[in-house]
Amino acid sequence: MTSQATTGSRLVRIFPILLILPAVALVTFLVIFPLIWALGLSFYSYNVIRGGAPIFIGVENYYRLLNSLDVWRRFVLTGQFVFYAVSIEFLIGFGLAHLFYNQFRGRRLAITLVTTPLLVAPVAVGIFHRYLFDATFGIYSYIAQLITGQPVKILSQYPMFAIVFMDVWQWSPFMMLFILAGLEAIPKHMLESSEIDRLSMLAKFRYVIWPTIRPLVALALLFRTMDAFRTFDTIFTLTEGGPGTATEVLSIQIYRIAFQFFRTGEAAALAFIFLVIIVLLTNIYLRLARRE
Amino acid sequence: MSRDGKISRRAALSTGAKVATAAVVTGVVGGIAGYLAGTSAQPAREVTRTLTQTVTQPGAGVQTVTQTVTRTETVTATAPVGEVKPELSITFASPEWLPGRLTGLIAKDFPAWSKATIGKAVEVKMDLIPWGAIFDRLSTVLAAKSKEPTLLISDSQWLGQFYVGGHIRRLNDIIARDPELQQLLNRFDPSLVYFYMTYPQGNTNNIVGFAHEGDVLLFVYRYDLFSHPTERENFKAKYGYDLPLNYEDWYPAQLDWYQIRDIAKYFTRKAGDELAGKRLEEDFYGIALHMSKAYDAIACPFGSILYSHGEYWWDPETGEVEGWINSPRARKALEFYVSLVPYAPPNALEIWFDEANAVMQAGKVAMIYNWAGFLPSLFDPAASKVYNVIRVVPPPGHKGDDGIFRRYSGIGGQPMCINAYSDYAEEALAFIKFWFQPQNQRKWAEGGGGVCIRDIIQTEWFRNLTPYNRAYADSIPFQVDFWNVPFFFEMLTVVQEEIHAALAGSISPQAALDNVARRHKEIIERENYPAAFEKYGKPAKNVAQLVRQGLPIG
Repeated sequence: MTSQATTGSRLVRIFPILLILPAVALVTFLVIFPLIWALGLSFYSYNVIRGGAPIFIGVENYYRLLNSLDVWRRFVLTGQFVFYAVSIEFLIGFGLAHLFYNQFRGRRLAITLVTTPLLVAPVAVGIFHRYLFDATFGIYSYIAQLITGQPVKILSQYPMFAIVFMDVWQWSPFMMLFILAGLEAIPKHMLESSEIDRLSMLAKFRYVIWPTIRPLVALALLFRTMDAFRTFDTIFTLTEGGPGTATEVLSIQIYRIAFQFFRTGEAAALAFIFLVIIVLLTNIYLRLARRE
Repeated sequence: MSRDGKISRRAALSTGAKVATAAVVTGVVGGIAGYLAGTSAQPAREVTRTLTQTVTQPGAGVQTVTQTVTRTETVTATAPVGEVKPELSITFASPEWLPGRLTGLIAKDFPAWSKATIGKAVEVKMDLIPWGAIFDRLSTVLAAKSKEPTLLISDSQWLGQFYVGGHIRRLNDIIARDPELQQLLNRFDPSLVYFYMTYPQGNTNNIVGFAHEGDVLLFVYRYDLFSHPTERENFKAKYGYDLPLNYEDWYPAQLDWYQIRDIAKYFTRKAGDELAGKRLEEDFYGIALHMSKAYDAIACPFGSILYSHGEYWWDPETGEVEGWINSPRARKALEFYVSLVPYAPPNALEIWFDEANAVMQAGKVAMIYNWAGFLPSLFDPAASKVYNVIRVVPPPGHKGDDGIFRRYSGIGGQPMCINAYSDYAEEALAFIKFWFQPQNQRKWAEGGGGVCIRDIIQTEWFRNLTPYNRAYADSIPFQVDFWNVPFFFEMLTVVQEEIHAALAGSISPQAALDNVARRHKEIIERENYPAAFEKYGKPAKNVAQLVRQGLPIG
């Protein structure tokens, strides 16, 4: 009886561990192990397509990358892209959320239509924006030509605008959904009280709306910033980083080093530098959000 | 359902869930079936191509009588499926385009042939991969030492990377034992052996592939515009010489790239202007040639212009770059390339093979410079407004300050190689022999494939088979390739980035070339070229010196 009870209590203790074991094993095998492997690889000179044994070179990959003007240029470029895209997405998402917060006929259909871009595969987004922006056959160029008599060469003359526009088109609805969820969560009685107290629009926003939606806005900004930093497929299919290197963000450079030049160790090092920057940014965001 | 006849929320949800589940199950089952069907299915049994033949008879003066006959032919595999039951399957990875599909069609006869010759019915399954993804896909598959694909199409510049990495087989020992293959080697045009089959280039000590799809850059021009009396008269009045009209005016005549610019400039018109007696409703452009940043879109056509100016990318023997790619001749070549932008369609900087075809098909441009392998759709009445008024000719050259006329062109096309990790090298080799059987080469030619066998290319039958075969055949001897060294992609990317920036006007041609030289030098020094690669031998000839002297390569 006693031994049965002991076995039973042991089972009770082990059971939760058994339940999470597959998930832990999966994460260890598919995420943690490759991450540690890649970290190790970043200290080696290794070209996967040429084979041969990896040569340990210490922090040389990191030293070379951090001293490369080209890499810093791409950091700055990526930062610019993220800043423009996320800021505009926030403003548009904020506006749309307020629009859809009001009840009107066809509201649900309108929300569905507005959120459609989120469902489109990024490669498809890149390709059809390529057609839209095409200076010879594209619709924007056609309209510009009707108005000004001149085609507009968006991809070759305003490439940053093109990639930001495309990102904004796809991801503004994401911001909208988060902010709308925040707005919907505001207790009705508080809004009614603010009406009764005749608060100005600004005061209503500052004291009633903002405190409620703030955590969700912070979360949406965090998600979008992290996501925008690693944008690859849309930009690659739209501009391939061109003209020249005008839109060559870091993720494209990592792809080139890893899968076109096959400098595997260097690509791993650059990916880790990138990872550290994103983790730092995330922490800054979270700290700011908590302080607020 | 509720008593009042309305559907309750629960019933609606339940029905919705059932429908969704049914849809998901159908999708999954359909997907699996489709996947299985796709992987096990034979390649298409038919390849359809459209042939346009133009017969021109001289009339009075420059007037000509032109009759264009367009016919659509379907090439069908002769051996019915299932005639010989395959005992073994091997995979052939190829780009997804007409030559790839056609290869699959011809391969249908291979089980019967292999049964008769090597005693084993071998089936060749095509793995068709889009052009944009094939290098990454093959590189990663080979890096993982995968046994399949047994056969693979390698772009000519990938050869060094795949061979040095030990991923494709060196074929010399097999060829040495096989008189049939030795004979076959002699049947290729020398420039194709040089650039498609060897690493280092032209070094026959390392034969690493067999030429499969030959491809060259050709000019397509609007014959109706070039032959229009008013246009001819006005052009001559402006530039002092005649517009080239017939094939012989382009080749073997020494038409110069700078004349091409004159022609491009002349034909660039705005909406409302007159063109060949008609008022234009939209802008019309002089020339569309590849200027996109994608892959090697710039390196090939700019290569043609560079070589024709008597310069090359580097010295392949020493690895020196300074004084080559940033020399005065190279600068002049790039300045010329950049000077074509105003006469190109507005999307000039995104133009590659598809875009070049699109502007020609839409009737918006006077000339394009495009790969022969992509020209068939220009002659398809369903796709092209100009299918019956265009002609295909070899590219021009350039007479340099030294008085030498050089005509070179950046080569395209691909060899087929054998995966070094495959267990079926013998079967792959049997397929290569099968491929070069006369009846299969005939099907290859008739289906629109780029034949690489010299004695076929030079026949009148082949030259007249398509509207572009004659130009293709005449162009092969003056083809030149860039690097096929293991670090080619980095060299290529530098060229694409810097010259694309020059085309966009972000930097000057000289600055772009100085950047190319600086970055190439860094790569070459890091790779310790040529010392680190000496064990593979040296290139057979110094292409750079030959180009400078204006001598043939092959």
